Amino acid sequence: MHSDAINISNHIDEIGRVANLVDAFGQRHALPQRVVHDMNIALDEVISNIIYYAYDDRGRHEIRVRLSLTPGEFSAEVEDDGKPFDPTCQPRKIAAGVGVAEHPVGGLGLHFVQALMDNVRYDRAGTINRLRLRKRMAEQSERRIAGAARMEVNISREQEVTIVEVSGRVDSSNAGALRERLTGIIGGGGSALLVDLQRVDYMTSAGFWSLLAAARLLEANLGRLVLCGIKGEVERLFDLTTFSEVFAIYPDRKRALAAIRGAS
Amino acid sequence: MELIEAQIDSVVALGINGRIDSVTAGTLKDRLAGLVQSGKAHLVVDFKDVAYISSAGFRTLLIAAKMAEEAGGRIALCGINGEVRRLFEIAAFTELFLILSDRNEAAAAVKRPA
Repeated sequence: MHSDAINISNHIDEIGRVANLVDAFGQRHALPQRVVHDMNIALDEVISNIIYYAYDDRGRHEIRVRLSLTPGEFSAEVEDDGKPFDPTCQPRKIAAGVGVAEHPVGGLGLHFVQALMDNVRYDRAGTINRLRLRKRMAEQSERRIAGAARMEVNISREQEVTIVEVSGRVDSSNAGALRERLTGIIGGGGSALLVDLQRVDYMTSAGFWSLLAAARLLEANLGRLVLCGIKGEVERLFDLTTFSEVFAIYPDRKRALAAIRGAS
Repeated sequence: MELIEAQIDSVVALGINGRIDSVTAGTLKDRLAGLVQSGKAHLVVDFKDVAYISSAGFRTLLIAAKMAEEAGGRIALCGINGEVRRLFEIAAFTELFLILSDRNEAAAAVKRPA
């Protein structure tokens, strides 16, 4: 579990510090933008309510905000020492079709909190109000994270053939890394390359261009590159491009190896 | 949050960049009020670069819309896409405002008699 916390004072500008904390936490842990936005809005609503309504005096009070991240859930806890106030008990006043002048705005903030968060829980311990906001997220491996897609490259040799097994997703974020691996092998003297894409679930055109670059480099060095294991979505994409005419493609590794050895 | 004014014929288009929340809503309200009070009651507010808007921002919009109407003008909104549209829908505000897709359309709409 990852967490971060901040104490702010009961002044409206302090909410900016909370938003900055949430943004930084979201970036550090590559959280989806929507999740960060929703948490920022929910915290804005909750904390502004506390600042405006929780205190009868004009004194300085502290509000504590704690962020937590566990697999699949981003949550925040807000603690204050103001009057007892349970936001989960307030009626949600939203009326559609009402004119601008008559629209009741009260309750909109709390409506947002309930609509944007998956779970909202309030409790009071002694003189402290504690509100817990929870937002569920897809697990790390399923999320579209900003940054490199997960790709693995395994290299082995069968006599004179270098077998490059690629698995995972190949897109603009990591195709360059794939190309570097391939050119590295070729630069190191490999002249017969078999690229096995059987465990690739997704490849964009960036991936194809990397393979093409490797194939061209090999040709220039009188080598050969063959592909195998193209199936499913990857096969569909291959068919849409003209790459199937450019590459020597075989259904499986066995046939690919035979072809690469049999070629003169 | 940044506010950038532009002119489309006789209509002022106010572009908002950043987040509209409890901290920044006051600034937005002051700017809109200032425009209405200085006789520019036909306004377009462009949300294209808005990260998100909280209830404080919605309150500000309502107040500004009311002020503009009382001054014989209108406010139209534009650039409400993606996340911001989702928030408008959660707030049930999509029916409440004149919303067009871009600022040129919005400027034209705002000038038409109600």
